[in-house]
Amino acid sequence: MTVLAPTKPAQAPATHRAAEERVLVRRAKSGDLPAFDELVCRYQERVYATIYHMTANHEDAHDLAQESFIKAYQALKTFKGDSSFFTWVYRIAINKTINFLKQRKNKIHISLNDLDLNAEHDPDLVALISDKTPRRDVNLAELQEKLNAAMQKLSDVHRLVVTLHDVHGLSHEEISKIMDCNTGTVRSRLFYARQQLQAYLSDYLK
Amino acid sequence: MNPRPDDFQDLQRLLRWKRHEKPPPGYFDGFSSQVIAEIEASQIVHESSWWERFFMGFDAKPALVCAYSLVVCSSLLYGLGFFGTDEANFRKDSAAQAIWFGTETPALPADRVDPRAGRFGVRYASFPLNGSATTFGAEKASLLFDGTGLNINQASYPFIDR
Repeated sequence: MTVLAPTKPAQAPATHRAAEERVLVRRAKSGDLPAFDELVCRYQERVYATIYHMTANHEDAHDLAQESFIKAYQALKTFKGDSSFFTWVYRIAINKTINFLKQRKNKIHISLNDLDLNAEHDPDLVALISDKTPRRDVNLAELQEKLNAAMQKLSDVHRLVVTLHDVHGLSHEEISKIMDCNTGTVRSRLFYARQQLQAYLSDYLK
Repeated sequence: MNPRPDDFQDLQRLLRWKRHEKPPPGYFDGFSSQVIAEIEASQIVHESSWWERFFMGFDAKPALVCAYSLVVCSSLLYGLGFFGTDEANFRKDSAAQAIWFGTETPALPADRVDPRAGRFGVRYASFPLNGSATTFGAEKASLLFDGTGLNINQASYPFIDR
């Protein structure tokens, strides 16, 4: 078994990356764990972040992200390559998360990650606070808490659409593939979710 | 409903800001190796034989051991109880059959019951298999016909020599 050197996503062209991914998937299918390890490294941050924004709990996100990759490895033989590996893994992670949230129901336990050092100087936040918000003295930790609490008030599917589109920047088409619905549904869910969030966070937006 | 994208510009800015929520530094360094270790562990469990998996389950769940023990013990006790009532039922059945067929002979005394006799009273060669040891626990074959008053005589025909 050979160990692949870590790839640098930004440098590799999209087509080359896709071809490389197909090779990795084929090798992982035949039981090559280092190849699967490489696939995990590629998508672990995005999968973790999506689950984290859905659950607002670091520990749950950690467990669910690990379980999703393990499940993906076990089900790898059923992956036919109709979609990208990323979309397929994302779908597994999202199904797992939604099932988890259904079981959890209203027992929400928020355990937030710390903000990184750049949060305070983020151009989006600076613009938001200096331009319009009367609450210039806004506490970042409080804002983070309010934002997450507002997200948790949304239904699972609405939170998912907002997370994938507005937090992770995925396109409507990508989201429709992941959620297995049409783009019209994605757009209408996004509109409704934003309306709800706007109402919950009105103090910080005007 | 026609969504106007500009309406949500500030909200989108705020949501993008959520990207700064990050797990502790170095968190992802060991993430994939943990996943691989879990996969390898599950493969080992999968490849092991069924009894190894059975006992592996006990290691982690002492409550399961108690549950299994209870099931085994209760099955054993039930089995013993069933055997005891079965023997008593056999004796009762023998007595009832004797009455039904007009015999007044009760079930065989305990010292005459073959220990190898099954539920339906089948007995083996330890009994003298002559005319007096018959079916249904009756002592004499003729008793079967006593109730009807039948009288059986031996017929004899003279042989005519031509």
